[in-house]
Amino acid sequence: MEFFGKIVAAGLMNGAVYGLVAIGFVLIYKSSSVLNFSQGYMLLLGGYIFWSFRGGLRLDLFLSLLLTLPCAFLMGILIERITLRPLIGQPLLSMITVTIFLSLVLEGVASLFWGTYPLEQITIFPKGALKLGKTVLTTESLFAFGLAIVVMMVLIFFFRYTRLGLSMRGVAEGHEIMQSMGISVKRILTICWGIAGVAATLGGILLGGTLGFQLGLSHIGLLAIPAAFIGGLESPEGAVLGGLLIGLIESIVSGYVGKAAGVPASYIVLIVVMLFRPYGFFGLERIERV
Amino acid sequence: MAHTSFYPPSGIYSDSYRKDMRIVKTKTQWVLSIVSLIFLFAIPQIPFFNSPYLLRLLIGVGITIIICLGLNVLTGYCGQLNIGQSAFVMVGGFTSGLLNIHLGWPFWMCVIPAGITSAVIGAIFGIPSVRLKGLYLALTTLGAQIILTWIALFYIPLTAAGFSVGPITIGTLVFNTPKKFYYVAMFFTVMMTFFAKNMMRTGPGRAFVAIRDNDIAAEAMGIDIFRYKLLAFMICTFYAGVAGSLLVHYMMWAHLESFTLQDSIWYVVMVIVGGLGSIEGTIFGVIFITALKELIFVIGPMVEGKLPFLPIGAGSGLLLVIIGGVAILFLIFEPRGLAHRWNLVKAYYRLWPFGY
Amino acid sequence: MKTKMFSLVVCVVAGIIVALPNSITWAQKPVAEVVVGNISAMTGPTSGTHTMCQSGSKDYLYYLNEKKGGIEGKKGRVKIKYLSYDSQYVATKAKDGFARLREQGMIVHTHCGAAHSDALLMDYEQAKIPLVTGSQGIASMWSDWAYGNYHSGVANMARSWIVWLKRDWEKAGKPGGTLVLGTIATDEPWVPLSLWDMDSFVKEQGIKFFTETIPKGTTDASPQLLRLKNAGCKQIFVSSSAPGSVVVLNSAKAMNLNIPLTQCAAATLGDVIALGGPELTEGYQGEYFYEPMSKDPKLGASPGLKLARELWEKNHPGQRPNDMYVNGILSGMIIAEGIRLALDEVTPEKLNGEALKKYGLDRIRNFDCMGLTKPISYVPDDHIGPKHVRYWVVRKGFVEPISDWMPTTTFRIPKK
Repeated sequence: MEFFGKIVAAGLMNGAVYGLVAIGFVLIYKSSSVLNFSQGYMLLLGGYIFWSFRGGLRLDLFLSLLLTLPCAFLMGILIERITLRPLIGQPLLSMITVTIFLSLVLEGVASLFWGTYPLEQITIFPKGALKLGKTVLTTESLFAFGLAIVVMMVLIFFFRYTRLGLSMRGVAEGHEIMQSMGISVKRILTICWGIAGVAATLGGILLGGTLGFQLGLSHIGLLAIPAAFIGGLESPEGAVLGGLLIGLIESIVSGYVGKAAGVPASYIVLIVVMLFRPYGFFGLERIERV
Repeated sequence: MAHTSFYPPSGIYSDSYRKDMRIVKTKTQWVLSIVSLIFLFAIPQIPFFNSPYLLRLLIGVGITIIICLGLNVLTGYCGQLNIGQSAFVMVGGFTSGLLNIHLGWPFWMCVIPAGITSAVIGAIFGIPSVRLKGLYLALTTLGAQIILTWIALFYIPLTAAGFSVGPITIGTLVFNTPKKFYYVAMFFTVMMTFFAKNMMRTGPGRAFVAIRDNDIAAEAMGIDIFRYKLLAFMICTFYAGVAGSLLVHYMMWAHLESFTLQDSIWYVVMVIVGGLGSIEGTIFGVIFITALKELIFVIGPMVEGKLPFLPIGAGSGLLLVIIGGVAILFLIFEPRGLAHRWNLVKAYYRLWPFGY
Repeated sequence: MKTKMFSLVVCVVAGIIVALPNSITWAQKPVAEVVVGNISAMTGPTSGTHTMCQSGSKDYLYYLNEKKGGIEGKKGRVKIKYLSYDSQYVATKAKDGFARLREQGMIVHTHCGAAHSDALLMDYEQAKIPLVTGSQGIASMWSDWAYGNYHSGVANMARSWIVWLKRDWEKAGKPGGTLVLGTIATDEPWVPLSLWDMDSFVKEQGIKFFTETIPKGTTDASPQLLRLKNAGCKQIFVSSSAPGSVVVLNSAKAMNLNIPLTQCAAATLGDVIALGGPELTEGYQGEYFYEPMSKDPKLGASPGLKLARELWEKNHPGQRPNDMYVNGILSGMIIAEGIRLALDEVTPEKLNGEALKKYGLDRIRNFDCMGLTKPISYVPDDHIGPKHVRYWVVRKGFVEPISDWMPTTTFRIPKK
């Protein structure tokens, strides 16, 4: 029982990080129907920027966070302005391909300025452990969990109740319609990419705390893709729940079966689930007509 | 996107449906295709081109073209996304390699079973396409990549360690150098291109296009969507399996790490850059991306030596930025792929001097 | 505008295609210059270690060029030209690189082992170009043309560690009756190889051995550690590259695990310290087959390590020293020694891969590598190299030895 509790806790904590990264995918999909393959590299670059302030310049923790987040927003905006803006109205697959190329550029930028060698991990949360009966939770993963939930809540509120959030949802439906309703598609896209940059950076900072800052961080971007899918590509709450679900399956299977069966098992479960719910748990079901 | 050219060559009238469907329509086209085929097979004999390095590149291009043609049938014609293609290449490669070393079968007997095994597994992973559409389907193919790699890694000791595979032979002729293997690779590339080009003129080919353009309409017209989607998956993965078989016999070495998710993504990129639903486009796309990537490999170390003030590994980083940047610029100016431009060029040539 | 841009792109691509075969003819082999090739993954998942390894052998060979005027034998003197090719962790690319380097006149090549470089086996045997490797993959263990300076195959990391612990345990009078050990492994592709057929080895040694796996991207390894702890493991072997090891260390710290952990040779302790910081890694053990850069400066250094530190200072001023650099220098030393021996027998013009193997590398006996590792001898059927390992522990961000040089096990993964 002690083992099971521990495994569930570990799975949930892992899942929270997946969820946070998956929110980045959802944000971009919601506004532009693009699956952003460079999300993992945005996460990497954001993490490296944070490292420069905190580890490189040895600034105060809050000051460096305060400096990093605008930088991350700016990074998102720049990416959108330079690469995706010219492609508005072009075939969707071209836009997706651009994000793949973008990941090359971002990896290049990261190794150009910070080298290919890993940088030291920086924890932003106080180290410690919390005992729940026989299960021990690290405070770090608790904070990660909390952060993912908070970001999710903020985004849900944002998309449901603010004017900007509503127009973002509209933009996802169709660029022409929104344009004709007097909403600037370009501005909305820019802001969306900015927010996605911030979300990715938060994930990068969190992961850098446990895995260290290294080029391999971008791999997490791929692990989080299923989380975004299972929750439904349009829904932030789905992303977080999907992340938790995947973290849980992975942790339980690799705990009891071993042989690294966790990741493949989570995919098998996902494929089966998707057969019954083809748009994920919270995704928008498209009603198609001829 | 049209997969035939916009305008027929000047002075050519199709007075029957049969004539209209011909791939090669004029005498000039006949001459050109025969000359280019002869040139293709003569390359290893031409002094300027016959360096093993260039031949190796061309072999790589040939095998990749086979893989991407399969992908183009599935993605370009049938509209189903597949980002796990290299896993199916792996299935074909391992099947062929295991048959070769365990049962002692020669390559020529392994290649078809390799393709078929791959196609069967491809069909299994194609089943979710009944319900899943668009990007959501990417998930199952991504899953195929991860699940198949995992099985090969943990449940088949031989494939986890990698093993050596015999070269291709005909009688006493052994195809173990680039110069000799080039002919095998080009033979398969030309054959598979020919099949792919013709496939689109058959009933199933038209059914694929109908499903891509609107699957509900296609269903209403009496096309069995599930069957044709599975068929498309099987064709796609059959191509992958054949290419995988070629690949391991070319490298004479089969290992898991030759078939990564990165490769799968690059295959999709090649197809999109080339132009979805175009055979010529696929060929252009593969050549374009291979040339671009080769640039990193050749220039990267040279650049790094010249810039000692940057951190270690920065040289390759710089090159990645440049290559990625060029590719993005290319897509911005050419978002419909190389095939679109090819058709424009052809139309311009045909209409000249009356183009407007 | 679009057409112009397009034709520009076409011209660039056409230029590349035309220039490629040309560039091969530019690199004509000057007199008394031999080409050493390197095919490593300078980009991709292993770029961190591979670039360091490459840099080490390159810096050492160029140092010989500058300071000693090249390498001199009885029959002449040569200078080294060092060319590298980025395989980007792709097997076919590694093969392309081999073909290209061969056209540029390469007589010996070196790499930092990984599965993609195993694919070169057929090529170098066919071309008769010896390989001096920084770490032996599986295939190169089978080849007569490969010369190692590192560990005796990936499958011996855990085996040697078990032998070491068993010896200490027997010395202490066999406390507890049976020795219980465990390993925590990631799902990286090389891990199943490192634990190849462990069951029979464990049975042979008469100990208990438990294996737990963590997925690559996980941030919490505590359930697996807990299982190993409950199984009663005395020590735990971490079969992971540096990021996974840091996750294990973090979890071990959070759950106050007081079982000693040992890093396998897939990552150096220096890497783990760089990633996790000195505080987290304090007391972490690891294995090295050479004297590492991160050795505590107060402990003194062998002449080889002093040279390595000098070269690092010169070529990478102000950067954090890396242990794999020494590994690269070792490859460089063996190549240089082989060429020196071969030049006693053949003139520089006749020095090719075959001559280098026959007169050079095959005749290396008790080569001391300036004290960086145990003396190296290559005899037929045994090109493994030093075949000794030493265990180290992290103290205040540096490493210090906790064992003597110990012979490694010499298990080989069967060819088929």
